[in-house]
This record gives sequence, C-alpha cells and structure tokens, in this order.
Amino acid sequence: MKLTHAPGYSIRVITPPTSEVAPASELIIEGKPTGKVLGGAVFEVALNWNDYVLLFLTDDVPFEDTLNIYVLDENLEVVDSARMFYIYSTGVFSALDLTEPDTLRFRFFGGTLWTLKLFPEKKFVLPIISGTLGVSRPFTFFRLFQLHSRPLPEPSQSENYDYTGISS
Amino acid sequence: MEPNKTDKDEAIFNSTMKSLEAQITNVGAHLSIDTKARLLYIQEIKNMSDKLRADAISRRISWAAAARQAQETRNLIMGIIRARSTPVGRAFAESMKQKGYSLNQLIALKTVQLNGEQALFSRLSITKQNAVYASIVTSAGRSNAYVSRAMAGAAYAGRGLLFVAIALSTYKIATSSNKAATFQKELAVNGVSVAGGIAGGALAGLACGPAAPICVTVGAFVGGALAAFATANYW
Repeated sequence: MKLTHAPGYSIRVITPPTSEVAPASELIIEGKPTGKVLGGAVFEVALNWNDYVLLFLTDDVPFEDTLNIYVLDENLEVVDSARMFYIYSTGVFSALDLTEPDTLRFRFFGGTLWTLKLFPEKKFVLPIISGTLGVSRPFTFFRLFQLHSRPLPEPSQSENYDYTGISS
Repeated sequence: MEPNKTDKDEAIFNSTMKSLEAQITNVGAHLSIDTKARLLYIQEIKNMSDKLRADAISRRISWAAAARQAQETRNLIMGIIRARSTPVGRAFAESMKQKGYSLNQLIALKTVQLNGEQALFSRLSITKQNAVYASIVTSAGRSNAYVSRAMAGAAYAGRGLLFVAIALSTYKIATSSNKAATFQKELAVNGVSVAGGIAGGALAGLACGPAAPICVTVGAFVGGALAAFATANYW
C-alpha cells in the first residue's frame, strides 16, 4: 500500500532539549491533545500506511540532531520505532520520496539515501544483530519496518553543505 | 634441550598473557580519553554559546554576528575535539559524512519554528529576527543528549577497566618476590600498551583511511598487544 501524507498531526513540546535531557512532545491530532508523549521537539512529517501512522520528529539540536521515527497503531501505541543520531554529526531530514508502495526514502545524514521498508506484518528479528551505522532500534524480537542506507554519489558543493569544514 | 625449550615456551606464553592483560589498560585508556574529549566538547560549546549570548545582550556584537560566529566557532570546536580524541574515537566520528544546515537554512528553520509555517524571515520585525538569531546561538550550545548518555556509560566502563587493570597489577606486585622490579614491569607494559594502541590506531588510519572505524580499532588493539608483548618479553 502507498504511503500518504497524514494531515492534522502536530506536536507540543513539553520537555525542551538540553545537552543532558532529550526532548519530549505531546502528540496533537486535529488540534486536540492526545496525551501521547514521544521523543522529539520538531515535527517533520506524518504519514498514513494501512491502519498505522508514521511520525518523523527531530530533536531541535541542529548541530548534532536526532531523527525519531515512530509507527503508531490506531490506539496511538508505538508498534515500532527507530532513532537516528551519531556523535559529532548531524542531519537534515529532506528529500522524502513516497513513490513506491510500502516504502519511503529520505535523506538525513550526509552522503546516504535512507530506505524504510514496511512489512505487511511484524517480522521476527534477532536484536543482537547490529543494524546500520547511526541507527538505534529498541531491544525487541519483532519489527514492522527495516531501515537501510545506500551511499549516494558525491554531491556538488551547492547540494551538500559541509558545516564542519573537516574533510574526511 | 627440552627444559630450555619449555622455559622459552613458558616465557612466550607469559608475555602473551601479559600483553592481553595490558589490553584492559589500553581499552580503558581509550574510553577515558574519548569520554573526556566529549565532556570538553559539551563544556566548550556551552561556554561559547553563553559568551555570544552575553555579548549580544550587552550589544558588543549584533545578534546576526553572534549567530554567524556561533556556527563557525562550533565547527572549529568540533574539529579541535576530534583532534583530541584517540584515533579510534576520531575514526568513529568521521565515519559519518556531514550533512549540516547552512546558516540560511538554520534561519529558515528557526523562523518557521518560532513564527509559524507561513513566516518569512525578511518580513519579520527586527525584534523577531533577533529572536531567530538568538535561538540559533542557544542551539549551538546544545549537544545530543543520547550521545552524551552513551558516552557517560563509556566513561564508567573506561574507569571500570582501568580499575581492573590497576587491581591486577597491584595483586602481581603484592605477590611478587621482587616488588620493585614487578612494579617497573607492570608500569612499562601497561604504559606501552596504551602508547602502542594509539600508534597502532593512527597507523591503521593511515593505511585504511581515517574514517574506517573497524580497521582503526583492530589497529589499536594489535598495536597495543604487540607493544605490550615486546616489552613483557624484553623484561
């Protein structure tokens, strides 16, 4: 099934980000507070897929940001999630592509295209098997989606701004 | 001939065991150096952000200049801290390519966050524009809480490993018949293990490229083990 934008979703920050405490926000639907608290401080996008909603939130730490991905069921319970962050690195959530069914593509960290593939039902996985660099998943034996990255060709100067000024 | 061969084998076995033991010190020292570098990073970016805020509030510089300086200085601090990390820490940090915000992107982002989806920075009042710049200065002083939490765990692990290494050395010195010589040997083997680890990591970085964390980690381990083995064998 194709993913579509879910209008009416937003968040209200209840714990702003600091260097010690990760931010938390309450989910708002159609302007009404839901009482559901999720990690993140900036609402990026909400998507519909089957009976689920995918939420993408960032932490408002622009120089070392985190992308929080949640899949919520109809009761707003988190059925699967992922968190993307990396030491001394940041990312910009952009280039969202929803053209393929059950799949979405986006960019976050530089030089990589991220693909999120949704499964028709939860799949058994071994949580000890390390995932992709920069991705943190909860310790669970079942997943509803898989995240993987593919390196992109070297971008032009205008496309990729290296804010660190450090060549690697 | 047989007894001599047995003595030699035993000496090699003892040196190998000692070099592996010294790896506890090597790993503990690596963790401690990198977590200290992280703490310094958190402190320095906060100091930078606080100073720029104070300068802008007291009108020594404009808020626009403060935002620009915050972005530039933060990148400078990140470069310095990476240089202060171990080759392993640096390799991990550099293994992820950067895709950060330009100052213009940050301004656009903060404008929407503070003033709503339809807001345009150029149409904001000077006060609101300054609030956008101030928000950039503040956010430049923040580090990722998840990374900081993980590094705090690594700091405990590093200290724990160093404690185990010291305890092992203390036990060996206490049960040795020649305490002065054993003390010198323990100090030398553990010391060169750390130095060899850093040198091995740096050499592996030259061979595999700096942003190859697995290769650099193996290099640091092998470098530390070889240096400790050679020292233990020489003693």
